[in-house]
Amino acid sequence: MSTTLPPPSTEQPAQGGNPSGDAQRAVDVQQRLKLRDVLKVVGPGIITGGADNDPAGVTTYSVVGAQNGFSQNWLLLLSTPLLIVIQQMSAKIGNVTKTDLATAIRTHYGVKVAAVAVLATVIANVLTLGADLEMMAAVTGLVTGLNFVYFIVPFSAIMAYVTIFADHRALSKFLLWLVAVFAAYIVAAFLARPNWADALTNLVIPHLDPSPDYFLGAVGLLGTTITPYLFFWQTSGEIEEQRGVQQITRTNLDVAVGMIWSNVTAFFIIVATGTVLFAHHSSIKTAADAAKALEPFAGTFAKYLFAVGIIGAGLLAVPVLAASTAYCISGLAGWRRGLTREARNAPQFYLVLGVALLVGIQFAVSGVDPIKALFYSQVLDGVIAPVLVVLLLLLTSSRKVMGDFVNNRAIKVIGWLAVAVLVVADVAMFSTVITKGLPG
Amino acid sequence: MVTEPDHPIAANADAPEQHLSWWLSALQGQAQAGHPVYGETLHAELQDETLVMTGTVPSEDCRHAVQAELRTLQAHTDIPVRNELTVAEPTGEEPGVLQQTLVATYENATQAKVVAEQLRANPVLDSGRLQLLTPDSSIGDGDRTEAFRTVTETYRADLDRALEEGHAVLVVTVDETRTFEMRQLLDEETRSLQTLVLPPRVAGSGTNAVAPDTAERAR
Repeated sequence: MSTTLPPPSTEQPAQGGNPSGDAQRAVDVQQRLKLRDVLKVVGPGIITGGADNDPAGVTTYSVVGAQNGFSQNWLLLLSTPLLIVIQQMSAKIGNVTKTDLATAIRTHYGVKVAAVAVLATVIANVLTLGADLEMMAAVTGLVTGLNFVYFIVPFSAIMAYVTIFADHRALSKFLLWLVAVFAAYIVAAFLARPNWADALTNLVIPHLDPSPDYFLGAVGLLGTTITPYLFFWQTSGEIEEQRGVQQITRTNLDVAVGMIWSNVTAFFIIVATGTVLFAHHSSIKTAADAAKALEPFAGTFAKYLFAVGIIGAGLLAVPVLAASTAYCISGLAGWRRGLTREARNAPQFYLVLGVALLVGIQFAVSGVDPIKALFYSQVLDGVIAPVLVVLLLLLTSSRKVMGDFVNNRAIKVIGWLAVAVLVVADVAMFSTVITKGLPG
Repeated sequence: MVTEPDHPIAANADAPEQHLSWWLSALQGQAQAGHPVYGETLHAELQDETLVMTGTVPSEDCRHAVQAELRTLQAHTDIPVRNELTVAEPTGEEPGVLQQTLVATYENATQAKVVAEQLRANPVLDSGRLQLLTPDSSIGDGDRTEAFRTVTETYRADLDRALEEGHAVLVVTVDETRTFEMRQLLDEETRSLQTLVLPPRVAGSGTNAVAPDTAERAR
């Protein structure tokens, strides 16, 4: 409405030369960030990064810390740039193609490839969703003293209402403050008096222990950090917010700040649980065990603090998991989709969303140990992640798809390094589990 | 083959009349889907015998376009109307910097022509370009050549394949800031068989910034 597009030029595109890069340059000029813009991005980025540590993430980091101490800290450091690059690639697909990830894969690689990617993600999403619901109920049981099973259905009803009828974006601003209680792990880690030399040495020097415990922990840690549903959610988020290529710099900064903060929090969760639990040869079998890591900070109130964080994180994560699942399947099928649409305007999208919640509830009430369910759902994420990262890399490295916004060499190297790290961890996990069996 | 000229919404004086049936069904509380142009972002509800409109439209021009539709409705019904529509906050993206071309494939020419008509009445296409290619157009056709030039060599094979399979294709070029809405219209609202969104290019450059052989090398 504000501009008139000129008719197509009759000039031929440059043959054989380097692509013009004009679109990229035009965007670069558009996006010169001022300090106040950076500050505007950093704040929300930190809050969003905190939200990336959902109940599954907090539980997995806690299990890893309790099970393996600080020995996998180096994986957190290694995964940080990989995670940033992968999330930035996911966002860029939305910025450039204006299409969600499932649709982009279907359009460029066909329905069969897209169906495999979507099916794997949907299975992992629904298991994580069910395990998240179970953990929310478990922490409520912890503070009330009642059987946690009673809380699963009420939580699920709240989740269904929030996802389908409430303005999740507006609600998120409130919920993010609940999740901010996980920053308590930073204080708890310091108060627990860890062996900092040991924690920091393990951060920079890789340590390998060829046991099933170690490699299950490694795949779980990588799976909860580089987690497939976030790829789909990041792309869909760009679509919902209608952020085009002129916002790429801001999006990249937002993603980088958020992911760094997310992994910093994860580091302190591992340090706290590694000091409080691993050092005393305690393992995490219940929500109460997981909450113990906050005791150096909160004492007897640790379980309340842990419960508030897990419930807030769950309220944020479950709608995202359900919506991400609905996006995957609707994108694959070409249905109307999006949380900004009303249910009657996108019935299939909301039907999938509802079914995902129902299957999650079914899983949550099935009596599976919530800690194990959360941990193994993240291991599954770690197994399917490399397939999706390869598809992300192929899409964002294709000049046909991305034009001037194609990956540069550094991004490609980091992306393929992520694939290699994930594949090596998966192969090592399967080979140790096959030869030595699952840990008890 | 039919090539559509530039088509600003302001030139389409029939649009308010075309949307009258939707307003009448909204008035009776029987509108089955969203507004034909603005979809779910626009809500119309009868409150104390006054039609109250709420929601968000992309620009002031769109707000005026809806106002024109309401005048048409009032001419038919005499119902009082309260327009509480708001104009969307600026997204931080400047229009006029980049543009994008979308290639939507439809089952047949009839279907594609219906979609083309709908798009003409839609402000998302305002100041954009729309070309309709049908399978019966000849290879040497100048308009077809122009459409191929718009999508560049990189996407020519996709266009050729669709036409050879007997499908019709809409080639739509819009400002980059309107591409989200246009993709949604082509892909989700009108259920194209496939919608390709070409990479953004500098507004007025005419071609995507992709050289065919570099595209091959990049794979």
